[in-house]
Amino acid sequence: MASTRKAFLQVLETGVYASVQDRGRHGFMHWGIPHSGFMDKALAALANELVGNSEDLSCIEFYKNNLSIRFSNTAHIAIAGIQISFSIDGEIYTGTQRVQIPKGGVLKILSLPHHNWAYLAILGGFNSEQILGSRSMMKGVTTLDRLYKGMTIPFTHSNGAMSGLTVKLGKEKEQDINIMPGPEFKLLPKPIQNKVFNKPLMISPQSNRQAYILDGFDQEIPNAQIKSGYTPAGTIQITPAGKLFVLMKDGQTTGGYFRIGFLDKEDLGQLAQIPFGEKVQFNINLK
Amino acid sequence: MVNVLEKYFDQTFFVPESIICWPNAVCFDALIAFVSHQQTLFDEVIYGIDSIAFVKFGTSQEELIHLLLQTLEAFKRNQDNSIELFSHDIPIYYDLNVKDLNALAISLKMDKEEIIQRHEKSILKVAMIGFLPGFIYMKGLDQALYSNRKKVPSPRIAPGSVGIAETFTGIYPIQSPGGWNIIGFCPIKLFDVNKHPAIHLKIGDEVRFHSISEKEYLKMNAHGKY
Repeated sequence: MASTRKAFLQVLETGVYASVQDRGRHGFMHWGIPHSGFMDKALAALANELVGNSEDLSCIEFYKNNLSIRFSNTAHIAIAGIQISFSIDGEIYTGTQRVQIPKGGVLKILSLPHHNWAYLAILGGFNSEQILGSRSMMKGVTTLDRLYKGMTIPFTHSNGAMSGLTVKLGKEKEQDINIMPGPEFKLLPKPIQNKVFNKPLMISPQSNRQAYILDGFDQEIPNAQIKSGYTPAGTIQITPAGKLFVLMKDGQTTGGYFRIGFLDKEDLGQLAQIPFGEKVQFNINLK
Repeated sequence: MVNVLEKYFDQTFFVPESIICWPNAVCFDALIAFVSHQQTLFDEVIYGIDSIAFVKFGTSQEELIHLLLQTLEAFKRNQDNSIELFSHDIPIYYDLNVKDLNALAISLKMDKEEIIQRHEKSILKVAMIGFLPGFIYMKGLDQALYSNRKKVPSPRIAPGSVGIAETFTGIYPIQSPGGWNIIGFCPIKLFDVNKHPAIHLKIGDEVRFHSISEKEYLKMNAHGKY
């Protein structure tokens, strides 16, 4: 069914931020290389599953709307995002589904109202640059750190028809996340230990794939620094100025700020999708 | 079991799928060098300035301790044998015209030439790689060169730039903003993801810089025009 003719897509508009991602690259943190990979692994897996791919094949991950792509050839794709709407050659589709793009067809993401990240999967995955076993774009690792307007990405062209399939996704409303204390939590002054968590914090619009910045604390903690050490995705750090942030998939592998908490891997995808400007509450059991 | 951990570590901290250890001063350098030159039992080993983290995906705390004890056992056996010393000689063009060197000369109250001499004579050791992919931190800097980071970071530092800050020497692998005091430029790409391995330097290895001329630098420069 797959032929070897050169099929490619061309990025017409990127929106705010879009990149190729897959399961990420593991085993290179000692070189300062973060895992990268899907911000919402479960949603990307669904997109891949809809087109019949294995769950960790490369997808295009995009933030909100305005991504626009032209496909040189017929393409079997899936779009996954909560209450997402998109158009193909002007025809509007709503919700997570797989769909066939005609030769020369243009896909445009119209809106993603309740979440940050959504996924475009294609049968066979995208044949973009692969470095250290992964196509996940990352500054200092891959040639490109994101999609750029006008760039092209090859994909494996497939013939034959694929029927449409729509999946209903409920909007998650849970914005409370349980966390565990990090090694420097106990070094915080006691009054700060008692009030830094268990209350709502706002996810700053300055957030990105490296870190989600949390507004609403901002209390100075003099000398809150350590000798640089391990900071995996999911680490909650606080700066001496009192700025709180959570390291995400492209976050630094080591850092010198207090590590005051850790999110479970499974909860990181949930945090990733809480819209910037909305609130999240980290709950910690202080015993 | 806990006693064994206490023998090597001042402190340990468990995170899901990983354990952070602070090796004691007695074993620190030897343990780090041993682990970085070993195919380890772990999926990731992350070196910090005074700590080391071991990661194994999908394991329990008990399994982590078990793997750590196996590693320590192998380390103990190895200590009885002679330890091979890994050393790297790295070219650097100390640029007397670079702005940060002037500022350092003022803040350290030292001639630019002396800063360079003291730096070239320092026997450095790779302490960790972090901050950026392939950004190398080296310890062992001449104490007279300890300095603060720049108050206002430079927006664009060229790839290959060698800087000093606090007690460390660092090398920028890619163009980046940064606050280290730049004293010279390394013409070779020490970190290249298209090569196998991407970097030859391992944590704990010795590094000596040797001064080259501007002409030699330009001839060797692998970073491209900047």
